[in-house]
This record gives sequence, C-alpha cells and structure tokens, in this order.
Amino acid sequence: MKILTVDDSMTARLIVKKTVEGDGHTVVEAADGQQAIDKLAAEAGSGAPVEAVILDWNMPVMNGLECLKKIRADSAYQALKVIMCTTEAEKTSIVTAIQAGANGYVLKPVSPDVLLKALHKAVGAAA
Amino acid sequence: MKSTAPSMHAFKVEYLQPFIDSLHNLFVTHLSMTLEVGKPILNQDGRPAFEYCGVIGFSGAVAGRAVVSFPAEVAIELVKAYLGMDEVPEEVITDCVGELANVIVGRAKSALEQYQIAITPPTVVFGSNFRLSDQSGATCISIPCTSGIGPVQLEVSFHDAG
Repeated sequence: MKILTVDDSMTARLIVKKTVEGDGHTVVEAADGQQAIDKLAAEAGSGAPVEAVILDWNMPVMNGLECLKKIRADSAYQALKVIMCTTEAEKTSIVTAIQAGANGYVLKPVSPDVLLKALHKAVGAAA
Repeated sequence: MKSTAPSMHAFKVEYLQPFIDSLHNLFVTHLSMTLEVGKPILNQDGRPAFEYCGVIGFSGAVAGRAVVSFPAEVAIELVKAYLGMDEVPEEVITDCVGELANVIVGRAKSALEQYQIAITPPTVVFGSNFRLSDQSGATCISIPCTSGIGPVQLEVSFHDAG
C-alpha cells in the first residue's frame, strides 16, 4: 500500500516512514496540506495512487483540517483513508476531524504500535 | 451580539501543570525513561538553562512562550531515543528538538483547552543568550528536571495577552 505522510516536521515524517515501511508499505512525503493535495494528484496520475494519508494538523500554508476537507470534497478520493496524527488532544478537535471525514486519530508522541493499529483499522486490515 | 473573544487571565500556578504532565508523558510513558521534576522557580534573568532550545509561542487568553532546553549531549541522546536510531545527522537533531517542543507544548495546550490557546510552529535556537520573553512584566518560570539521560529544563513565560 502507498501511504502519504504529511507533516512540516522532518522528524515526524521520518517516524511515520520508518514505522509504515517496517510494516511493508511504501511512503511518499509532503510538508504541508497544499503539497499533500499536489502529491495525491501526482501519484494518482502515475497509476499507483496513494491509499492512506497520515496527516498532521498544525502546518504552514494549508493546515491538516483544511487539507482533509479538500480531500473529502473531491470525489476522486472517496476511498482514501485519512488518519490525523497530531498534538491536538481536545475532544472538540477530535470530533471536528472525524466530522470532516478522518478515518482515524492518533496523538503525538505516537508509538509504532498505536500508529499501525490505527492504520490497519482505517484500511480494514487485521491489526 | 455577544463577543466570543477570550477574556485575559493573569498568571496562575495551575497553568504549569499541563506542561509538566506533557513532559512526563514524553519521557516516562513514551520513551520509558525516568524523569524527576524539580520545584518550579522564578527565572530572574529570563534566559534558558541549556544550549539546545525548542521554542514555541502561544497566544489566546493565556499568552507567552515555552522553551524546552537541553545540553547538547542530552539533546543528541534524546533524539536517538525518540527516533529509535543509533546515529542521527545534525539537521535531524535540530528538527527533532523543534518537534519535541511541539509535542510537549501542543499536548499542554490541549489540557488548557478552556483558554483557547493557539501555538506557533517551533523554532530551534542554539545558545542560551536570548530572553524567554520580550514582553516587559512577563512572568518567567523555570522547571528543572533530571531525566535518565541528563538534565532538561522547561521554561515557561506568561504575559498579559491584552
């Protein structure tokens, strides 16, 4: 499965990359929401589309919530799974993200086990 | 129409606890390291303790700046542990110190939900020759901690947001 990690922190992207590659997936990266939208289109055009996005919330240019809303507004990405990975732990933030179409929500600092469990749950695979 | 703007709050000691809890969560729960949290003290000169500093500004009904500072050798060991890597290049250490500050302050922010705080992206500063707040009358509190890999200091400065 091809997974897009979206975070303005290289460290956060590195943690996600190491974790999901260790689970047998391939990873592409973006540093903000706009880059993520562009990357999704480019990968779809390549014939090997992204199947899941692991998305930070607080980022410059376009934040994660705006990015999530743009993804859900595009019928081309109906099957795309989106997991928020953020420090935003308020209940209102979690509810907002789920209502906007997030398929999972994990809090930083995230352990590999928790991230993979959320990913497997979102894509419907056995954890 | 009723205003939704948050009202301003003077500094309260309970503002510190979420920052301490968040630091504890990172070291003890996430990294399985020990962490002894010292008594918070007033930081008179307003400068951080150590040379690797992750700086996050926050604004809202409670405004200020939080700095997580480490000696270089502690920063390197912490980054290795956080990433699960034996060696890390310099640019990764710099980025990771910022991300660690983001994680600590971001989680603390969530616990202070009622104050509608927004945080800035992290900045990493080398050297302790800067002030924790550029606001006159700011309250700067230092929380010295000792982790299993060495000293860590959390510095939080609050000022009136109005």
